Amino acid sequence: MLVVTLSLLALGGLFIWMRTGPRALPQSRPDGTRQQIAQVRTFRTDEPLRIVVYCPSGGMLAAESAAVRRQPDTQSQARETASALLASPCVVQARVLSALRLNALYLNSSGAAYVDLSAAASGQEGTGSAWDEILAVYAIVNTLTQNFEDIKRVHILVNGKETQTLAGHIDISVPFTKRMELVKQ
Amino acid sequence: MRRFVGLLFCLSLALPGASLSAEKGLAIKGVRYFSYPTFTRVVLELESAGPYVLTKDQDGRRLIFTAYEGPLVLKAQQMPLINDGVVKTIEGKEDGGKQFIFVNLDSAAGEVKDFVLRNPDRVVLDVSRGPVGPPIPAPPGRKAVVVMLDPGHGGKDRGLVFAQGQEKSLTLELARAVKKLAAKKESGLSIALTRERDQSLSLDERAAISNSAGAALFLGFHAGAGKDVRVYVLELDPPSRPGGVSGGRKDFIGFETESEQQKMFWGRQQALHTQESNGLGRRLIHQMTGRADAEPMQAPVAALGAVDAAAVVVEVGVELDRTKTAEAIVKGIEQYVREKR
Repeated sequence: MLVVTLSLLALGGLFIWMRTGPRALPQSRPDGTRQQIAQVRTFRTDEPLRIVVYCPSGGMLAAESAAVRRQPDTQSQARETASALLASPCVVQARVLSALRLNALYLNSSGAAYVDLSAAASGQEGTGSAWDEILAVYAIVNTLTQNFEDIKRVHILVNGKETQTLAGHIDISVPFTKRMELVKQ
Repeated sequence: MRRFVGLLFCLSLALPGASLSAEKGLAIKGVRYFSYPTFTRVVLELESAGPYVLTKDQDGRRLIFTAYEGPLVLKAQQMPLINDGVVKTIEGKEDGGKQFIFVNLDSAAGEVKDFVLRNPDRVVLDVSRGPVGPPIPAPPGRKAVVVMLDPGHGGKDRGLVFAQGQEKSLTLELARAVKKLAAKKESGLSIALTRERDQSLSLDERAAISNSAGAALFLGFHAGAGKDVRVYVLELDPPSRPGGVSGGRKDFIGFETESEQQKMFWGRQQALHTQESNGLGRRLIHQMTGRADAEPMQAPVAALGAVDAAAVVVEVGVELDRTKTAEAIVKGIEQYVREKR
């Protein structure tokens, strides 16, 4: 009798565990590899991330909402965000900024972002006024610092090197911090 | 012998492969000069930067240049014969087993400034023409205030192109108009231009022309779209700027410590004039826009860091009336000078 009771309890426990316990490991594929289900669920890369980009508009910067692909780390996400700014339709009409392309973006542990831009328009006078240049610089700086609290300052490089100006007026050889007074209220 | 220029201990250790620097000497591989309306520039091309001594002889008619430590090696094939009224000749001389470079000054020579530029490394000596810069003389009995107007762009750099013309021409026209108006008013201003024609000048050259002329005020002119007027001053010590001195350039001399001497090095001169520059900017905005409470925009303007004067950049909308704009600028300058006196 005792043996029968214990057997029934064991079978019942096994049934309950199979219904509510941890998921079984993914089934092996025919080729023997296992599906990486857990990793996919952790990062949810399919859902877009809402960000704010700062575009030159009407002589000031305007905050605009945008969606970018989620990335697995802050550096990649910042790169995605800067690329989204430069590809944004609102940038098309912006002198200086519209001619820039992102080569690379790196973060260091002390809160500095290094934004490496293409030389397509850099250092070439005639691409914009001093004000156009200020708006271009702070469009990038504000977009990065406002979306990522880890980014405190931004260094702008051209083709991987420190450069004096983007278009002949504004000294970009020093790091920049955000300037929200340039944003239209 | 009076030492009038300090020693520069620069970067010799920072440069890889600089054999002479390692021996604490200097090698001069070339000597060039440039004659400008307001000053003469002598450029000593170095194999690599190192400490040097620049002194003046007792009668003040000769500059003497040598290495601070170690040998001065003169590899330049030829020394230029200048004779432009400011500098007569440059010659290499040996005295007591040590090599020197003599810069023989002429009667129009005035103040001398020296600085180092990098890549390629060179020592630059700027000798101003006379005590004060050119054209408009001040009325008798009052000391002239030298105002340097810097028409932006020039030469190959045409700037922006508007329906009204190229920016390089518009800025030159505005500078000429301001100069002409100031002359008419006999306001005690001695107005000079960094360029009087369609000419390419680097930002360093513009600042050097102003500094050598002893300008008290520097106004850079640029053009923008529409009817906007923007007046910029150099950004005041933002937290992101290392060293607490605006405009300092890392490629110039990498000193680690703060000192009065350091502040005077190239690219950092404007740090001593920030209050004056703001004052000048406020007067100009007031006269140009009618807004008495408006402040100039602080920005890291590349053209201003090396200017040793109250300095602003004025960006004028091309749709504005140019005569009225020139008048407002003259009034702004006059108001600032009057209040400073």
